Amino acid sequence: MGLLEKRALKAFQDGSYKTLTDEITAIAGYTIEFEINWDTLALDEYAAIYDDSFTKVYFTPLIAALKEITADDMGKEALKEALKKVVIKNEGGFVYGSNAYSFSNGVLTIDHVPFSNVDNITERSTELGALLMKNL
Amino acid sequence: MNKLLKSVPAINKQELLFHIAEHFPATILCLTTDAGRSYTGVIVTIGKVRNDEVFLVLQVADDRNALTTRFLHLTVGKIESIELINPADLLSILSLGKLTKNETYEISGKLAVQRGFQLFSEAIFNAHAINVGVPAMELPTDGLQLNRVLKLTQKIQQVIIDLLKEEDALSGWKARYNKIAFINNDSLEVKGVNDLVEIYFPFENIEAAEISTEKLTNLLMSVL
Repeated sequence: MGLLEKRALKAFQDGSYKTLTDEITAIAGYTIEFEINWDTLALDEYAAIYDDSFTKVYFTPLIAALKEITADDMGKEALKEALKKVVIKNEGGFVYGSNAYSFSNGVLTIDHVPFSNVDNITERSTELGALLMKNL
Repeated sequence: MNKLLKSVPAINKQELLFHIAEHFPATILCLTTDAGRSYTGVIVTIGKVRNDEVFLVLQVADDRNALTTRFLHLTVGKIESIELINPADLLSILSLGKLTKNETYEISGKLAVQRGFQLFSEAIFNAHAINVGVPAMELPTDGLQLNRVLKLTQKIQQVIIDLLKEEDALSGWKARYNKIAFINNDSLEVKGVNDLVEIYFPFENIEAAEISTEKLTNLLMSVL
């Protein structure tokens, strides 16, 4: 990771990442732990689109799915009981929501290539919402 | 499937053909006459004539079961045997619709079932302005069992909506009940306990048959 990537990553961590996780906390009604493997996300030569891509690939679908689940008190309670942690990484080379998400023992794992199918937000939101609903 | 087929009652050729013509008209049949000739095709029409004899018209299919423009007019009394070729729902055909093949289940979570319960109550209220309550049930943890509960809830909801279309059923329910509970059990039973309707059924047994609309309707009527 070069200086350009380090600066872009730091800018995301200090800016959008904080805003996005604050929004998730507000939607969920409790603090969900995030574990992010930044090294696998911050690929060389993509620094200029870190902010846009990380947001659209990992966070916007998560926010959309959580909004749907927490639309009523039953959903809020079920989410709080089931979802403890979110792991975000880019290890398996997955580029579709259908295989990017897994859930086990209270941990939601998002394993998606950060710069592929960036605008497939609806597809990822739908897949993630369905997965969470099966586990709540 | 074989186990279920053993429970199918005996029926005669005429009953079977009328049922197929009405409910499964696309079923391809191979009819063999008492003269030993066989004809493959689908029933176009079947009916009784004045002397009570039953005739059918068969649209004949070719060797690959594609329908041709050949039609056969045949007396049902002349039919020696009927072969069903790749029927869509053999159990339903042979039981004249009394049994159907088992539902297949996917994974559901508890939240989906709880929301299904809420929708159950709202749908009945929206249809008949009556509060039957949100079903109370001790939910299983298995995803397939939860999916069965969810699907059964939707079926029970429809049965109740249809039942309450009758004014006497609606007023009877309104006067007596405002709660409902689903209880896991080996068989279908319905009890009225004070202001509560209890529906007993193998909710958690994913191998068990689906709930019978007719039986449930009759049992619900018996507590109204």
